[in-house]
Amino acid sequence: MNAQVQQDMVTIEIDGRKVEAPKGSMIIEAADRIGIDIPRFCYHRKLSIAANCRMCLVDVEKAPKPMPACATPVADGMRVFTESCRARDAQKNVMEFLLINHPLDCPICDQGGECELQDLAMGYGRSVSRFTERKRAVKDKNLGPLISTDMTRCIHCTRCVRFLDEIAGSNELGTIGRGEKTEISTYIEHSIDSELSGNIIDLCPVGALTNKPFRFRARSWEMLARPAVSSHDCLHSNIWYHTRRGEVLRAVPRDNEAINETWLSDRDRYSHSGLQHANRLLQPQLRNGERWQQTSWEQALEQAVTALQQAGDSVQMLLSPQLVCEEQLAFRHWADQIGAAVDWQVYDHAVADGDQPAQNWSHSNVPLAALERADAVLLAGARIHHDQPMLGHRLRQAQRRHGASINVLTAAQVDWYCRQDSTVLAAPDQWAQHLAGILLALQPDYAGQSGFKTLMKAARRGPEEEQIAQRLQQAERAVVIAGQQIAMHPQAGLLQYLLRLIAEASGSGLTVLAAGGNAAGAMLMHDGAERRIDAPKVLILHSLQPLCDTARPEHLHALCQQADTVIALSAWRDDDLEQLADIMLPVADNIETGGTSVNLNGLSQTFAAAARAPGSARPGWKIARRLAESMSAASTPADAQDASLLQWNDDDAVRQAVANRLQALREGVSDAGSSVDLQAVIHQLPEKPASMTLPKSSAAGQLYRLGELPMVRVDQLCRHSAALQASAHQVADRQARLHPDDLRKLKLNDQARVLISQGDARAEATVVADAAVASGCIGIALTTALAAELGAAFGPVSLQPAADAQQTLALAESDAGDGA
Amino acid sequence: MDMQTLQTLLWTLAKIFIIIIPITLTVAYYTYAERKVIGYMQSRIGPNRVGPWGLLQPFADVFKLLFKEIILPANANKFLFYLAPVLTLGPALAAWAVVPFSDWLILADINASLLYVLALTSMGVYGIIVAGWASNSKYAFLGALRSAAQIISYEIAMGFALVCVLIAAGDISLKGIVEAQQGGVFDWFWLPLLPMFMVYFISGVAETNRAPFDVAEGESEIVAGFHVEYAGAAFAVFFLAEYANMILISALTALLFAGGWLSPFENVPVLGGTLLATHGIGWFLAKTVFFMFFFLWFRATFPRYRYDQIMRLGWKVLIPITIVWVVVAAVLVLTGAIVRGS
Amino acid sequence: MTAVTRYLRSLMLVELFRGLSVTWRHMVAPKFTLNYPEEKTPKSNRFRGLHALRRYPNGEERCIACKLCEAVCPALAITIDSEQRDDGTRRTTRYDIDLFKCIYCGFCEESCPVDSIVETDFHEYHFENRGENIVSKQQLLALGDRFETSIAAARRQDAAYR
Repeated sequence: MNAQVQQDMVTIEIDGRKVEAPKGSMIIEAADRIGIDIPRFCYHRKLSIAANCRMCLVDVEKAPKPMPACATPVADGMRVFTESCRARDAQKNVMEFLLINHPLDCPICDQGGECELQDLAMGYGRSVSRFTERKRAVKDKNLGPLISTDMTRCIHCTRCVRFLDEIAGSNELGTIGRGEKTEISTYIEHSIDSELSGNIIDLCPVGALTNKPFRFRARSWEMLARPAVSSHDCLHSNIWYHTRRGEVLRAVPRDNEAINETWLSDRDRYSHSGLQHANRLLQPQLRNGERWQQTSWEQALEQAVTALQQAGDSVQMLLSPQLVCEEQLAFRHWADQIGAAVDWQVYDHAVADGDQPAQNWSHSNVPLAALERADAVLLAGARIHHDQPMLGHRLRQAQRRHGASINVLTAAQVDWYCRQDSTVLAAPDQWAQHLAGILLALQPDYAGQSGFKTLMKAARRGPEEEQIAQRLQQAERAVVIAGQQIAMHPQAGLLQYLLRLIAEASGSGLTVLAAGGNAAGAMLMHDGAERRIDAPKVLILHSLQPLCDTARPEHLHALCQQADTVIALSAWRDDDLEQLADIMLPVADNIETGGTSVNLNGLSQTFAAAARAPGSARPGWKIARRLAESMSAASTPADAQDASLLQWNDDDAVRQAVANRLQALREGVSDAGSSVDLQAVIHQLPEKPASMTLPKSSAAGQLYRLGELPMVRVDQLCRHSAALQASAHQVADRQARLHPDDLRKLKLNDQARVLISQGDARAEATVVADAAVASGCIGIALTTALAAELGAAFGPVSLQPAADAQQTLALAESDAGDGA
Repeated sequence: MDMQTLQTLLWTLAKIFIIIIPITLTVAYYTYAERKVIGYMQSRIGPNRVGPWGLLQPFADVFKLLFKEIILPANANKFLFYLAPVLTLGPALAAWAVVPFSDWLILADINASLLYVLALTSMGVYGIIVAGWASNSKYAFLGALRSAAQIISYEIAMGFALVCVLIAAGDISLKGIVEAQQGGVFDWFWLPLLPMFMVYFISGVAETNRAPFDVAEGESEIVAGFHVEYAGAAFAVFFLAEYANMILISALTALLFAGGWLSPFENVPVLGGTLLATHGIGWFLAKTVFFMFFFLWFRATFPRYRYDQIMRLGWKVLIPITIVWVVVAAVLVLTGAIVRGS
Repeated sequence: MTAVTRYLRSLMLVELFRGLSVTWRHMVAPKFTLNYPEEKTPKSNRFRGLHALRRYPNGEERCIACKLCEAVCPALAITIDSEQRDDGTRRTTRYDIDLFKCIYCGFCEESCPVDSIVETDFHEYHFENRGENIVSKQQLLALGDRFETSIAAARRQDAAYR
């Protein structure tokens, strides 16, 4: 990992202390390394150098005037003084200039108490200003529901501009005007839509850009910082949750060079407000006919136990893959005790018995930091900057810094801030063919191999595929990424296997992505256990909505309907849960429980609870333990002895049980020395699927549906965060996107009302023309009401104008029972 | 019983009431006077809210005490607990029977009245000891014993001082002692028996457990000594007894050393012929009040004596002085320096 | 010689008479006791009594939820929750002062940048029920309205010295 080129080092002296610095680096970097404070505003170690604030002026021997430490390269024998008269004068004068037009807003400014301008003015400025003229004011810009602006306070350090240019790539902010009239602006009025936009709040040294949902809520000194880890994607960005009296008020990134550097995606930053949503479930409730009745834990648990005892071992547990390992392990133990089946692979298309599930957890043999140095990337079935924003960020840096080529296989083009060198735009039912084409281009031998013949005959090997193959072959550090859309695909096994072969053939690293923040952790806890049973009498749902958190909402809906009792452990009172469940138990969210999670590189991180669960909500593992106690089992399987659920008395015991299991897994791997933490355990190469044949493609007139998981609706917490739902990343419900050509073929107008049929399901929607969608493909986002009505994320659908809808519906009802 | 005896009985009862009621009122207003005088000495005014200038304050205090609950301590001797205050008050009031207010205003003119008084003041100790015992409390018991020890120590000094007065006066009746002081201010026994005067008064202060000898109840700002378990009416009786004793001591001092009801202007040139020169109860009362004021003055001025200092003072200072002075008094009488009567 | 003097002095009770003379002099000296509540000592216009939240002349509350008073309070008596109001301004939703914790030091008043939280000269109050020691924002604003004249007058008088 530390394969550094031998650099020339020079020796400089700062304030009498000698320090070695690499040639070409700046004085300020050397000073930071040895702990000498040089005040600065515009310099940031992750951004390019602007040197426009002039606060870092230092006295360099033999220089005619003070030099900016951030823009002066070190030279051998250079002597720098940061506390000499010249340096001090420079600091005081620059500070005086900066404060000339800065408004006296400290009492009403959110940045008060954590403001770099306040701190540096105290430390390096003058106590009296000589400015007696009038200050200028700037009109505030509306940058969207996430970022609040008070542009009069801006000191034009341009950190935000540089961030959005270099890191986020969206170029949304710029400086307009000059001199005193300079303003940072979007020029035309629009919100900042980058998925990393929240980081400019952290970067802004003054209170010009602040956290809008957090506006005016609290001061920095009255909050406690609790370390945590995000569970919205498989990367697990490190977070500080700032809490006051047990309530999370805001999220701020925690530095971790290996995962999120110093950044945080908007989803991770703003999701916590879901914890205070009005719909929070505070008391257990039982169904009473059509209504719900609040009750005590005793009564609710009693009813649950009765139902479970009647069901015997016909119990199915569905756990959200976002839950921490402790929850997964607790339910694993409990399921072993009562003989129930546990399924955490809710995003898998394969639900029937005998179906081989795809790899539903994220794993990679390329560390994130190394991803930044890739020189060719194949990105298949991913909207990477939405699904895993920090990964998208790394890829963008790879392209920007090292000129990596990004090659994409997708059903809908994304306006990503990355140059996409080759795009294979194909409907999802054609993905296997295109991947086969790339494989053929890499290794033509596959055409004749047994088992591959049919597939290779159907392979599409066009110029794009050739180019991609060539780039992968020629690259030294290529990476093949199977996105989460592939994991939800009906042919997921085949597609993942093809991507594995492509990686092997081109000598690339392989990254498999899947929805579910802690799917890797879940996989480790439930390794090899029974997954699904038919027609369970009791269904237990933990932190998932059956119509949202799945690739097959119609299947889960059916499960809920036919089960005798549905026990839902949820932190919120959602409509679909209240429709389908019989017992609802309030559970605490990950943030309120704490726990261990394993990211795609096999890095396991543990964090303590950051907030207090409201009402009588409890951690899920405690509920499992309580139910396990109540249903005294006749026998305990031998392999559950090491951490029997009934001995889990407190948080420490729980964490220890998980740690023990992870350690056992580590030791079970023969080649553990070469991997990062648990990488060797979770990075399992996709296996050859049982059947290599392609299913028949959609009939004429039918389109193949692409079910994307919207960025801000990936789990219950995000869905309840008002800030995220108000942002630009929101998706409209009841909309289907298709290519204008397809619209014309079906004789439909843009924005027309249509009736969509998928299998037996029918639903009304509005069609939207979108040239980015592949032909033959229709994009219907998951977690929407439309998706809940239609069913599987991927599959053939047919459209007809809504005017014919009544007729069709009537026909459908009379034909009830005839499946399509 | 015949008319004569009944009449005498009723008349005696009436005389008792004529003494007791004013004494009770005096005790009540003595408490008021104490609070006012000590207040003034502490640069503040005392109670001034209840009634004009606070004159109804004693009534307020009495009502408060009467309305309070008397809590009988657990395992206390009930009979003795209720008996103790009575035992303390009884002698204090009974001693007033022989006090001559003027040459004819005496309830019981017996010819050994000083002995009677001495006997009764000694009885007061019983009340204290019984109170301490009956309270069933360590602190009460120890406080009571200390108090008792203090009292009997100073009894001796007081007794010897009285002996000197006896030697000077030649008569053991209070009336006789006063009559032996006739002849002007400088014939009163305070001058020839000056040390005895001071010893008697100091012992009197110690007898009544008043500052600076109030270790029994003061040290007890934290734990109130022998009457710690008493509240309400029972405490009021102890309080009453203490102040009655103080007035008694003042009266006795006036009688024994200051000439009782004799006017100081007897043989004085200008004022000798005026009303001021008349002997009578007025002068007696004035002198008593004068000594009562000293009790208050002492309380406001002097810091408290420690118990061992009290014992030392009593036994090692006052008693030797009194013994010596008995001889001196006798010498004075024999040499004719003290002339009995005028 | 001094031993004899000391002995005679103690026999003559000299120091006792000196003590008595001290208390006598005090007794006859004029007293300065005031008959409260009919007579009262004069109060400075910096007197620190019960708190109040002031308004601007146009009726708008002054408090901008900067939380400096909460931060500086040595007894942690002030609790503040704040939010953006519908008109976009920064305002408190909760402003409680626990008068039992408060030590009436006046730091909150000194720290307030907009002269919102002040201590009036009102000190003759009492509580009769449990919980009345916590004054809420509503109560503090009402107190401010009630005492605004005297508050403004006191501040005006003191302005020359600030």
